[in-house]
Amino acid sequence: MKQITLICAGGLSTSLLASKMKKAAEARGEAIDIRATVVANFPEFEDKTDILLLAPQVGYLAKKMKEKYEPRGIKVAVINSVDYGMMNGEQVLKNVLTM
Amino acid sequence: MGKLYETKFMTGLQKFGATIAGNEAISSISAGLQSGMSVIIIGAIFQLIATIFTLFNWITTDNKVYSILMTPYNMTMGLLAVFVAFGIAYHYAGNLKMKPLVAGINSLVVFLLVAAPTETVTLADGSSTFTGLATTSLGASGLFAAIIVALVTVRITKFCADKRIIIRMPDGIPPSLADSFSALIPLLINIILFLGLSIISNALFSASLPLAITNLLSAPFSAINSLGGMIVIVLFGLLLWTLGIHGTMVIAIPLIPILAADIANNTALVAAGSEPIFTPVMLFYTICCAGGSGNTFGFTLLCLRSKSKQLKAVGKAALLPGIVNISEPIVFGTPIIYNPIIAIPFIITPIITMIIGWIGFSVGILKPMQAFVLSTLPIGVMDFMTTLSWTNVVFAFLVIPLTMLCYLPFFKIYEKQLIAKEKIIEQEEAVMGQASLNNA
Repeated sequence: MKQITLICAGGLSTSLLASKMKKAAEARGEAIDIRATVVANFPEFEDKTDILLLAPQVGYLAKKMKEKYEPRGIKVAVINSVDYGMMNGEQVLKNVLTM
Repeated sequence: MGKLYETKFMTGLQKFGATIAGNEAISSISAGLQSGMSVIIIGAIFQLIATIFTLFNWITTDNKVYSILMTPYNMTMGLLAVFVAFGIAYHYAGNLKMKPLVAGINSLVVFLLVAAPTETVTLADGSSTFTGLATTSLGASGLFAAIIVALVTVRITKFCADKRIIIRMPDGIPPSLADSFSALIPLLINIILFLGLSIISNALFSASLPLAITNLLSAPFSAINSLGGMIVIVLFGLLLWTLGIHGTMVIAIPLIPILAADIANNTALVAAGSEPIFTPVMLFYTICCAGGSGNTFGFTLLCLRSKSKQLKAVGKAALLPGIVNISEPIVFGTPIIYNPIIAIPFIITPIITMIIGWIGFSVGILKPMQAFVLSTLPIGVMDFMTTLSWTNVVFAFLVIPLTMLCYLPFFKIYEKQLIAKEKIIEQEEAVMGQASLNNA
């Protein structure tokens, strides 16, 4: 099963998007585990993550995260800011699945 | 206008903000402070119940029930620096790929060592003695010391590990035993260092280390803790937001320890039957009381009724998060980031609400905070929980129409641009549709 972890500064707005993405995944019949957490807590989930998505407000961490996690096989991406603002779970999921 | 964001100042600010927010020590401080938030909220709830009981004269502060109700507060908020000393070191060590738990415990021990060494006092009966820890610096007033201890102890441990200044065990010793031995020397160095600093501080300033740190920082503190200082700091935070960086998180780091200490002071004042005191750092609450960071709820309402499809969609998506004071959807959906037209009211309105708030506090219409709650709660709820004053709740709701007015002219310009763009796209689509029909 694919595992996606979303991270942001407070873990609040990403948890909103994560629940939207879960609904979108269910509607598509995809078995994907999606969760949201605070940047600092990501190490807890690093072994259980295939794809790491950064909220745009922590997009400045992208380079560091890519250097750290891409060698370990975790795909890292920053969420498109308009999709994030619209809380467009379906679009974000679509982009993730084509990664 | 788009070139504005390519100027040296803006790219420099972007880089600077990203460096601060991405710095491991800084992000550990905010994670450490955040890990104490649930503890703080529980403490605040008990404290509020106790205060409400006394407000209605059901109990007095010397009542047994009052002290029972205040115990959870004293054991949470009253020991805040203890949890934070652990939490920051835990996260910092994790960030530096060290053992978090050991680092957390070491930091905790060193913090207690400097902040609350055991003292034995003779009781009033003249013969029996009592040994205890002084709690003065264990609460909000010890936060800065806790931050410093957490960062320094982890750094020293890291230094020792990097320079191989550890006790190495021969092969065959169980790794877990070897681990606890290897932690000995760094902890010893930490303890000797901080014990030394503690002695120096006692000799020079006749104050404990946390107290001396607070005294040393009092000049920059009072600069921050003024209307002018707050405007500068908040301006910086808002500018970072317009560049897509979580500005509130960045400015919260210097503000939270000052804010927590001032509010804890008010809690004590209220418990003693006095009036709470206003300090400008409390204006932090006025920049996120109506829709989250930047008081964006008024703007969300404008978007909701917009003729532009995009703005209307953003308004819908941002409405519920806005009610619970989460502003990210509107900030990124509009977008407010890298959008010079909307960035102007986004920066100006919180400053205006802050100045109005300052007037409100100064003339006494608004009540100073007496409970420390920093969490994302629905509009009005946080204002009531922190002050128990209905005027503060009304203020939060009055901010909504006020910010609508501030945003309106800029909103109109942006809306016009978007509608024009949407029309062009519609026409193109119509032409394309016509063409495909003709082809068929």
